[in-house]
Amino acid sequence: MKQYVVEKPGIRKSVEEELKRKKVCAPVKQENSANFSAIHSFEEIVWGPPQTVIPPKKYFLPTSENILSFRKRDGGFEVEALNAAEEIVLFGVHPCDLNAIYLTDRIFAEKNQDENYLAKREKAVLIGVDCLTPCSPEAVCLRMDGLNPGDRFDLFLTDIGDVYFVEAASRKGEEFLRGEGRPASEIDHRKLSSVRKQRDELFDQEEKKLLPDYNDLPGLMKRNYVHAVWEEHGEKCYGCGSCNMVCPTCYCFDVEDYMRVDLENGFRKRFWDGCMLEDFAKVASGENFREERFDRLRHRTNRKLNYLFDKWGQSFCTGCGRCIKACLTHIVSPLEIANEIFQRQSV
Amino acid sequence: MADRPKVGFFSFTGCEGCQLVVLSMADRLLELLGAVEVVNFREASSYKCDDYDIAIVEGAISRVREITELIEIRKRAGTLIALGACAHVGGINCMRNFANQFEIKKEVYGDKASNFDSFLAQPLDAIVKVDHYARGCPPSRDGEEFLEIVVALMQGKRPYIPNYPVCVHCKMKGNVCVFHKERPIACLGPVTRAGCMAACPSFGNACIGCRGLAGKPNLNAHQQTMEEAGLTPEETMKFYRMLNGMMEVGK
Repeated sequence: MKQYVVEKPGIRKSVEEELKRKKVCAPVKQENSANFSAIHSFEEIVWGPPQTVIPPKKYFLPTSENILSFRKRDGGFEVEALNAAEEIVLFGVHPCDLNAIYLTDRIFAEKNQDENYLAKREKAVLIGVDCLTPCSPEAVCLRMDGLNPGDRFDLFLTDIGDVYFVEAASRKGEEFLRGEGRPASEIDHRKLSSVRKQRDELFDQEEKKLLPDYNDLPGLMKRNYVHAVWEEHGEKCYGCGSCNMVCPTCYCFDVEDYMRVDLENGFRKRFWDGCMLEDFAKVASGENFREERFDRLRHRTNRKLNYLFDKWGQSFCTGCGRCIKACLTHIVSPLEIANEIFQRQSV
Repeated sequence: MADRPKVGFFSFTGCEGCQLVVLSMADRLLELLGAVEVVNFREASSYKCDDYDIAIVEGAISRVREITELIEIRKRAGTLIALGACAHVGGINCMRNFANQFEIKKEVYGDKASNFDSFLAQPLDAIVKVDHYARGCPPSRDGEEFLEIVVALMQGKRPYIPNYPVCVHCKMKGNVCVFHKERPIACLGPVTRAGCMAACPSFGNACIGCRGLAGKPNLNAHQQTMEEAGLTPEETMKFYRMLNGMMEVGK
């Protein structure tokens, strides 16, 4: 990984150059919140808080996407695979989302490669921005190992005063810089360490504590598969799937065929689905493997803190805090569920 | 395709806006007319015929005459689709059900009130079996969902209608939750069935529940959310009754 120091106007210039050529998407203000959207000028970018309502996963796994078109032909069907991908620059992605994109990259590239996701991902440049203050009162990124993105980006900017400390993890990232900046010196590195140390101290003060040991989260979940917490929280759950929709690592989708009125042409659509929704685990016979809301809450929490943690070696909650905010009955926070179980565990 | 299915549109107590939505689908409607034969459609034609396979019925039932007519329609039609909130859950008509019936009739009809046999408004399925519901006030997504139901029927397929709450689509749209706005708004979205792509919250308004309740709505949780948003249980109930007064019927 290469490290540079770039003057602030240099970054502005890079963004403005990209804007001439490509679609650039970044967090922009939306009422009292923010959301990722295509920008037309550098000024629109929201650098720090507030957190975006939904994560940038929508650029790789659109909320709804046509994946096939078909039409009747000679007693059969003529089918065409659809895979629309455009070149974009995703600017201002927070570390929690960079970590989440890294994880969904793994998921969609495993075994059956998901061509639609991967094509979009390939054409995207990820420019991350270090969070120096928590972006919402709900954020728990420091606790869930989501605050440090490692090298999970093309370019990563940290504001170290008058300049940005810039880490470039790929050629795409280097190209974005267009030769702006100079290699980082020993002094710049020391500045970066001190900024990050202050950042960690601030986050440690501000963010809700995780009581169990991070690495024991899968074990804690396994030992407490049966626990009163699930029923208690499940009782207050709407089963509205808001937590799934806003989660940067939730990647489930449903697929449905739609015929046009002429009954000749149609298309296959895939769209976001969520394990908290009642029909998610319902099969053709009518059997539902997770009929109760508490079943589904337990499943979702285990996906984040246990099943996928075990499989990929880290929590699938990156602590972005979006689900905690979105949940109107305040029951879904993986961190708070883990804390509650830890304090009350029977085993 | 073999014979085009014959379709009749019928209207009971309501504003007849659902038929207007179907009419306003313009080119999509022309496609539909290529696939079905419309034999009864008061808003569009004076031609009437009693031979039809699919009956599309809008409006609630609130008069004796409407009961017998609806039963007759049910007998003739192989498939009956309830179009819009009034037919589906009784809709706005059901607000009268919670008022003094004598006074409310007097308010509307004055001294002629006794000439009208109108009674408590009912959704269609309080009287007859309804096969499919094209929900919403007016029918959702500018009638697209209604069209999807008709197409599914022609294919012999079960139409895809979500049973989850409006929140799913509201989040997909990236809306700031109306409960989280600078000036929060109480919303029925968390207990209302999705399918409208969160039409009202996407314009900054509350969901008023026109698609009826979601699959298994958590009404207790909603009571608490509404209280946190500053509504008393009575106010919440009034909000429900705006369109879902007859929700106890349950569907």
